[in-house]
Amino acid sequence: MAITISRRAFIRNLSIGGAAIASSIPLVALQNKNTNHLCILHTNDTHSRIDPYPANDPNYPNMGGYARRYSLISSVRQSIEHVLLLDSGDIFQGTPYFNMYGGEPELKLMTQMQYDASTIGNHEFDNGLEHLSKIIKYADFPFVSSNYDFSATPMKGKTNTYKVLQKGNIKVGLYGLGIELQGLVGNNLYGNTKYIDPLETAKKIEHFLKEEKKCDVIICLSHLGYRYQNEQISDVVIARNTRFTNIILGGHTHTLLENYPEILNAAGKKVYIGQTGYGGVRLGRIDLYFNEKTNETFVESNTIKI
Amino acid sequence: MARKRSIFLLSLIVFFATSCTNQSKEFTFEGKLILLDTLNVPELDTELDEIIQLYRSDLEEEMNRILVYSDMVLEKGTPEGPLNNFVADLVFDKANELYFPSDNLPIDFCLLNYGGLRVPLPKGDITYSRVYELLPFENQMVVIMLSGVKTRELFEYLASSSVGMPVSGIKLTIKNSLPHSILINGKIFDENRNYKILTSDYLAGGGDNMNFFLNPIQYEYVGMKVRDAIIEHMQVKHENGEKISAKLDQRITILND
Repeated sequence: MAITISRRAFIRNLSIGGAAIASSIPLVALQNKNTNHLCILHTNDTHSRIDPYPANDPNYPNMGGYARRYSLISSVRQSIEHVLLLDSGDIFQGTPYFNMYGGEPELKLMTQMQYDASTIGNHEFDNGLEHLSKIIKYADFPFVSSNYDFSATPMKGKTNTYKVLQKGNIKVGLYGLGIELQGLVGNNLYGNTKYIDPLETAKKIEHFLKEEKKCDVIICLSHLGYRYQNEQISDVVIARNTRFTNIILGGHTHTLLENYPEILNAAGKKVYIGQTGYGGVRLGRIDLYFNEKTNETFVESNTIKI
Repeated sequence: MARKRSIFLLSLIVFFATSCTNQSKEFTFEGKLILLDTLNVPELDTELDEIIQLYRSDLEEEMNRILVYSDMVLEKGTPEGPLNNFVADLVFDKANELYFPSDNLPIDFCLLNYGGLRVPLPKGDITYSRVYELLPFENQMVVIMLSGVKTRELFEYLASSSVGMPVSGIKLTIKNSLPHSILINGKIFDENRNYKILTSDYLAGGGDNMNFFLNPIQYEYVGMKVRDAIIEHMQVKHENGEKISAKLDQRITILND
């Protein structure tokens, strides 16, 4: 224990000195030993960016890439016991890796990184359902997809409607929402996939996860998009109209949500929405500190910002 | 039915139980995005990178493979250019091979966009990676049916454009930034009929301000990406021992005032 503290203190000093990586260390845990800490790392729309962006890229020189991402993930796992690694879809398409290998390396590498779950983005359909049903075996993690009915397709039985993960004494409920395919994806590619209303699905599943599965936190992996000018269903619409979903990790619109916007849900409670932009240039990091009792006032946490 | 009811009852009981005991956990939330640059994360995970290297070396070899030879430098131009004509013609050809509509009406012409052609093709070796640089986007070929009125808007757009849009199957003259004469497949444009236009899903969605494509009469996928059409064409050429080239044929001309 003493070693841990001194290590953290060391890193805290580093962080004051400006090393950005130190911001990934949970300082709050030091102040409240009774708090149960869950760290959630997340990505979306990584689009086959297996290698870092090239050195001459005008926007993201040398940034991103699976091996850089995994390096950070490993360092977080070394310092925190309970870590979840989640993805919100569009793993495929965007570099020649996908055109040449059809998604196999992406799924194998994500398995190697020990992803806990992902969901089905619209680009997962790009080579058709037959192809997807064959390569999904390379993913040793579940695809949580609650509103695509694949029962009349080759993908039958290869996704999960929900997933419950136990992390220490914290029970995490996951469900997944996919975007309307008609008009977005070639109908020859999605075949007999049935798209089910995302909000109705969300309401049913969150209720089930809360009341029957007794989840402490409910996370929606969404590929609906953050929000739209028109009435199109989005993460913001889901957040406003549900009651038990705590966090929505989104994708599709490639939105950079630096500050995890808070939306009040139908029960007047906060829902947090995360999205990390595009191409795996950033990794989202959420730290949840649980307390056993409700209705308790919490002291603002004391993280050092850099 | 009975099972459904019992699940419902059960969930009622469960709900009642949880609301009484009030044991659900509350949490505080902190979130941030971490930029994966060389400053924040200087080291790559070597173990993972070794696995990637197996794919990377194969891929590099594949991408550096010669797809076809070119007789000439193909550059884009305005109002037309060799690259514009080359890409539009063979995308049109490929779509015609693949397109079997239920109404048996063929595609009338093809329109792509100047901005979509990202680099010229050099004389000599054309590699796979060069074609990816030319067309980095994952656009699907689509067939859009427009009314005659909307099709006229399309030609007005072409006539007022400051850059040469890749087209195939038409002959257009422009005067004072307005369409002067329009031939489609050799026939004079008729505003009283519908036309089928081959384009990309990006442009069909109103990309590059091609708003005339929005709310079309019909929207169909051909079932192939624009880039794959080019690659397949080049593969066939290469297998037949042919080189690629393109000509200017005054498909779009600007008349003097």
